[in-house]
Amino acid sequence: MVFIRVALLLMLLAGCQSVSDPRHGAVIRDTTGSRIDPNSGRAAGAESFSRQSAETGQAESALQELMQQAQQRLRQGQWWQAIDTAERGLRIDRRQHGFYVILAAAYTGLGKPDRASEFARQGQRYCGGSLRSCVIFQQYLGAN
Amino acid sequence: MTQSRKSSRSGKPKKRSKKPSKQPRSVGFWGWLGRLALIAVAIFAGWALYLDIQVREKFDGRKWQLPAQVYSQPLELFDDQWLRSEDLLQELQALEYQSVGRVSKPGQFRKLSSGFEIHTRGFQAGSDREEPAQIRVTLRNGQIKRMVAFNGVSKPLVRLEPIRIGGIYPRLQQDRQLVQLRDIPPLLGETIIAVEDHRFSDHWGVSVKGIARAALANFQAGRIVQGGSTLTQQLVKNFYLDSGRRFTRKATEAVMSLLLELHYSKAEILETYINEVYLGQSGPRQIHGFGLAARHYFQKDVKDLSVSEVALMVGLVKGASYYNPWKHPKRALKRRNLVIGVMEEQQLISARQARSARAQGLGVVPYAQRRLHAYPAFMDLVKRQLLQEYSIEQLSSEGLHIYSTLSLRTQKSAERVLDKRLLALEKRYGLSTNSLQGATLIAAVGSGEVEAVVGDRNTAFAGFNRALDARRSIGSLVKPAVYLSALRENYHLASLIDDSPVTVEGPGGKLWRPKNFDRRSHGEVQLYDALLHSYNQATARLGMLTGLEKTAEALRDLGYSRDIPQVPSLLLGSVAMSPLDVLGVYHSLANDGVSAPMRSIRSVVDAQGELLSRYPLSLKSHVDTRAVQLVQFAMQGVTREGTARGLYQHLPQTFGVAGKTGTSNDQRDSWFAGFSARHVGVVWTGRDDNGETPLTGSSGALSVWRDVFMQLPHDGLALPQSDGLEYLWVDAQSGGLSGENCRNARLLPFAEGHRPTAKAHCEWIENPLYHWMKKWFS
Repeated sequence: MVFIRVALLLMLLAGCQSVSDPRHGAVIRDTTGSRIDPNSGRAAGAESFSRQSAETGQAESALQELMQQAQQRLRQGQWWQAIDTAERGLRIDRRQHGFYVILAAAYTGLGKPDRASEFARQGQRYCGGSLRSCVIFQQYLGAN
Repeated sequence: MTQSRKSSRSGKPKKRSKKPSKQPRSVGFWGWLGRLALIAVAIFAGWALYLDIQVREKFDGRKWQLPAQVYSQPLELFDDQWLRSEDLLQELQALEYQSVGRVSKPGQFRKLSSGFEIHTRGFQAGSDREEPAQIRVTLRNGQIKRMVAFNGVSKPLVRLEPIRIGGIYPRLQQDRQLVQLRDIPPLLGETIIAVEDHRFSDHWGVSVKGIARAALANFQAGRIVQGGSTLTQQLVKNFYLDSGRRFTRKATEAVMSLLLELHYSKAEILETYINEVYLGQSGPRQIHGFGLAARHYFQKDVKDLSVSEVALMVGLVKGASYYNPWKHPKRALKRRNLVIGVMEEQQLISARQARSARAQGLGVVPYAQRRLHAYPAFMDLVKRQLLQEYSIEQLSSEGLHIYSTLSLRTQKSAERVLDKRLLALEKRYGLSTNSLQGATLIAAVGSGEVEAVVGDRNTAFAGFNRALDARRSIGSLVKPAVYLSALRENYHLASLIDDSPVTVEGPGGKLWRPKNFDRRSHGEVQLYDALLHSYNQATARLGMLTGLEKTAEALRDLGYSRDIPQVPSLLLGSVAMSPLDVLGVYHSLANDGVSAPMRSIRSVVDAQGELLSRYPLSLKSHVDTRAVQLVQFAMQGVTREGTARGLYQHLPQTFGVAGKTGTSNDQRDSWFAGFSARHVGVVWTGRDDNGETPLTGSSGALSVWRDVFMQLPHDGLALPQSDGLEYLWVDAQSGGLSGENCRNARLLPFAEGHRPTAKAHCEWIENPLYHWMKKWFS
């Protein structure tokens, strides 16, 4: 049963490999209704804030490599190795929702549904850029 | 008695036998002597048997208590990684990589104009394995721009080995790195024998000739000037006995030496000797064995020692303190050359090799670069966390490998700054030197991994650890929790709150009248401004309106687990926390409201390389993300235009950080806690006697935090964004909705359903038509 669930998650995850910007879609508007792109620097109040950090799309090759490694370990049922690899990925970018999927799946494999839920809930916070991941987390939380 | 009574009853005297009665034979002198000799032999045999059991028990069992070895986290290398050239160099030096002109084997590197060529060694920590790699790393503007293999296949990620940063020692603080005979260069073994006991292969543990020669020399000198001990006896003395010179001890030593030779081969005895012998001191830590000594003096593997280095190390056996090459270089040189002479005389080296070795300097690492593996405050945290699962006996004797979360570059940055900055503050405010103390903690946002701990301005001092144990009032550091609790209710950042004087009746009818730091009232202010400028009166009023229990609840949700006295002064930070407690709370703020335990350990592996424990990421309570992001936004404002705006006199404008200053009553404690996208850091400064200081959070701790974060990755915060968060232009005075081109308009984030509804009057500062055209064409 556990394997079936993990396999299902892996199938869904197959489309999550791309490392995309998880933070987007915030709406900035003034009373005239005009939208403002928070990253364009057009908004006077936002000009002083820094550029996007390395969390948002840099270090892509490293993240993809770790994602592939983690998925492979998950497929082989090496739950702890998958967790170690996903944690390495999150140390580079803590908002990569894909690694939370790995953690949720691996803890499911280990028979620790509460821990799996923790990571699914956390991943849900960062899945804004990927509907597929959001669905995974939702299904996962629903299953628990 | 019975017999005589019977006789008397019968009345007949008992007949005596005609046989002559046996007279007790007189035991002569020789008989007694023989008996005594037999008893002595029996006692000796018993004693020898007892010693035999002792000898075998210890030699066959675990010979030494092996301290747990603690390692740093391995440095990850990949494109876009934030890494300064000096940090990478520092890491390679700590790993004792050799700087060479051409990289040809693992453990070597070459400095290039734009980066490094490195041949990594690879490592295995439990099931975690990293293969060696040959990479060329190009660095620019504090980041890895490109990493490629200069030999072999390129990989997107490469890790350097974890650095050994210290150990958890038994009571006597003996430390050693075990080596096997097959790993020891033959020259080292031969030199030890030549110098310490050249008849080692001939005797049975005790050398009669040696004893006679030493006795003669001692007799002639009238005091003990020479020992006749063989190498086996030296081993017995160090391994089994104390260092006294009593006759009984000498006899025990001789018997045990014989027994040792009886049971074990010369090779086994030599190997044990090489690992046992005392060869120096590193602070309180005793350096035993040639394996660790080679690292201590030369930062080399024992197999890589040169002739002159072998000679110096063997020379140290006679007296490691007396011949300490750093303290007494002339003595050490003389002793080394004497050993080189013996090596030449015994034909272990040629005359040419001897000349060349004598011509060399001592070759020990510079005194300042000795690897003391200090970091006592961080080690303290590791030890405390380990003691929740392991006994001190296990930690100090089983040779465990502890893989910690310490980041060398972060720890070094924090250490470099604290004392330097406190000295500058003392000078600036006319305080006596060393009157101020401090503590710094840095953790990675998300993982909660503690990367640096400094618990004393003297970073090598292993005493009171202020980072973990100094519990002091946190002052305004509590305010983000007060505002968080309000933002979770019906408030938003533009909500108005009265900053006029406030009086609150506390426990026992005691009145509490908090004052603003500038002793002025600021009228109706928006929540954003009240937090930005750390207004006490507005905060106290807001906290009382929201409820003390709500602030306490917010602190608990942010991960603080100790008792929180629910008194009005809680709202201005009367609660006493340690810097580690504050780190946990601020980590949750940095981590979008998710608390995680502050971890200092990743895994524990036993002496055989089997994984014993792992400490994976664990997430605790979740606070509403949007409310936390509003607080984050305001805390970014604190560093841009509020009480911490001094930060950007030094930090680059592109490096977005958020934080909060804290000052306790009478300026006894100066705090700053803040975060970038990657790190969260807490700094406390004050006096150990809890005395007053001239420092506020802005003028004291802030400067330490700033100097540390200047050296950390400049991975800045972005504008908080999440679903259900929207940015609106509001009037800076009234808090009503405004527009981009209205005077005094500013952009603030609002959570869905919690936004201003009233519109502010808009005084256009740009022609509406021009504004419309600009939007159209842009």
